[in-house]
Amino acid sequence: MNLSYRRGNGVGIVRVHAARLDAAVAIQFKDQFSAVAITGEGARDQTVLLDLAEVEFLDSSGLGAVVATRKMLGEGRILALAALRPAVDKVMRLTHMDRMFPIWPDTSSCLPGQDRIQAV
Amino acid sequence: MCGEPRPPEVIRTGEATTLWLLTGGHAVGEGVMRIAALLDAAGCARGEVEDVTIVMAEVLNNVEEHAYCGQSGQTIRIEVVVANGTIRCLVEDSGRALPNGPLPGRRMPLADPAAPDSWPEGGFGWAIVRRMTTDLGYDRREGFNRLWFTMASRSR
Repeated sequence: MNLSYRRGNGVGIVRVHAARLDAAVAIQFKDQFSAVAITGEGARDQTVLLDLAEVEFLDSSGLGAVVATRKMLGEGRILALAALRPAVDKVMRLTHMDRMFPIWPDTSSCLPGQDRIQAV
Repeated sequence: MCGEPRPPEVIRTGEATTLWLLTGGHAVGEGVMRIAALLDAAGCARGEVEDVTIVMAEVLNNVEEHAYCGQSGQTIRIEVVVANGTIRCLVEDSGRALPNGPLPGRRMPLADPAAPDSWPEGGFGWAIVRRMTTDLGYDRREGFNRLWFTMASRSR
């Protein structure tokens, strides 16, 4: 599990380099996200976009970790998601969390500052 | 021991295929992928295989985290039967029993979109299992937990 960071489109883009975001890596994911988006180079981004293009599978622990990262950002900042693979999309819909996050088809379509808008 | 090949893991329609895994590290993820590969080779449709992986991951995580309290090296036995348009699964472990009463997860945790601080970080697992399966059942027999469930299977 690894995260990388870049600026693009006026937002901070955090890409998850892992095929599975699951119970085995949930804590690692939260720690690395904090190191990038809270104390690291993405600390000043108002909108953080989580690029999930490489994540083929998300379980409920991985979902819990994504919710935890949303809470880390606090009020006034936004966590958006991009590039959901079919199994990830299925879990988001089943748990109704697809209504909680702005979700974009890919990183280039994300618009900064858009909160709670279903973009797909 | 050499020269004695292990029987290949294959799913034959109507017959039970048994898999074992030992808890710890990425064992659950790897076990789920083994099951997915077997179902795929047996001709199950991609969407159904995906559904089984989602449910199986939740069930096996629960066994590892709660029945075995996160201990590594504990045995989980899994049985899969593909027959008559269904995939039937049985998961057996010798960890702690589930609490008495109905299985958890009758409701999906709710979140208020306007208050991210209150969003749930857990409680999704059993609700996902309930939503995606039929015939979900559990019993405790001779020191073993047995959880079984059925899912739809459409061949390609």
